[in-house]
Amino acid sequence: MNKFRIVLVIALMSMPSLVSAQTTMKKGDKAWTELEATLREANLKWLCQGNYYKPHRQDCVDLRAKYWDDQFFEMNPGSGTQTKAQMVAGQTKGAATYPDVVRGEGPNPTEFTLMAVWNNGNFAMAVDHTLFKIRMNSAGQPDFEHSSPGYHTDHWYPDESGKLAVVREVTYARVFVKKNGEWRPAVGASSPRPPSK
Amino acid sequence: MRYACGLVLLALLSGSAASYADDMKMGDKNWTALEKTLEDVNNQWLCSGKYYKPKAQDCVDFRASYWPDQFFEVGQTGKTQTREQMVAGQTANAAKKPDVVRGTGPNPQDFKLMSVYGNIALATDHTVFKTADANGNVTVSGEAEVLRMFEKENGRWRPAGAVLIPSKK
Repeated sequence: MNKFRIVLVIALMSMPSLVSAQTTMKKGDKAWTELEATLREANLKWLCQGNYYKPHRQDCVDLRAKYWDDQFFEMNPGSGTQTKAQMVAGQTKGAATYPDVVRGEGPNPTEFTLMAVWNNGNFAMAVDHTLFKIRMNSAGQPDFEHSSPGYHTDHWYPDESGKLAVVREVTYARVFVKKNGEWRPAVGASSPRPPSK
Repeated sequence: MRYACGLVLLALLSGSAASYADDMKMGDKNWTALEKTLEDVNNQWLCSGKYYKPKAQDCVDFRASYWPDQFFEVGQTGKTQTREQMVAGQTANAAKKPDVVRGTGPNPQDFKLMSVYGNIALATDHTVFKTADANGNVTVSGEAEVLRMFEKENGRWRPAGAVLIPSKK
């Protein structure tokens, strides 16, 4: 009988519908800081930045098509809400027009901050400050000819390397889900912020 | 006894396997029912429609009790605020403008459930912000596409966060 009770308690504790969405992790503790570091890395992978840089744009689109969760969607100023299928289709089209990527071009996340952890540590919400960068031309101006129309702007400034122009800045909410032990992007939503310079 | 233990373990395994699948698909009966529940939660959160409160502070107080500790919001200018900061800012605003004309403030439309992950649900809406002029006439002051995040605790859905993206319909 005792054996049955133990099994019953374990079963009830493991059923997702009966547990709360809360988690025991607290902002600033070791587990929180470690998860933040893990998700910062997942964020770089999502954006094909740093160690995940891919010189061919389509390679990044292909990675995202596998990496994003099936329910993934994104919300951005000017483009509204797009499902995973719509995002992949749009980015594939963009990759055909602008196939090459200079290292550091595109979305560059900074100040990644884990904001909330739910579902017993299997769902996480974070924000970052994303700088969108494009390459400069030989005249030291942003190379709008080789970048998507979404990046065209009157206001820009050179980044710390002097080789790329920062053309847009947003606060990006980055939402992740852990499935089969792997953290994957579940949602991205961005709100424009005033230029830093 | 072995049979009973086996059944419980089977329930355990099927529970964890179901995990995020939730037996719910966009457009099916369960999905539509949850979408309706969350739309109502959204109206409560915003003190909109039948949840209108004539005193601004009453809505702030309600939110302070409704939002979980981890709640956060990204505003239309990209500013991220915690629950504590939101409550403080809204309390200061309520002191300056204590009375609320019915229909002013955030008015959510086109609420759509986008994804469900166990006790977390993600939705979108188009929110129209309205203000009243000196004569009490209500006009549109802004619009945003909004990511609305919800969490379920003790059987109750609550707002978990929001991201506001300025937009015009």
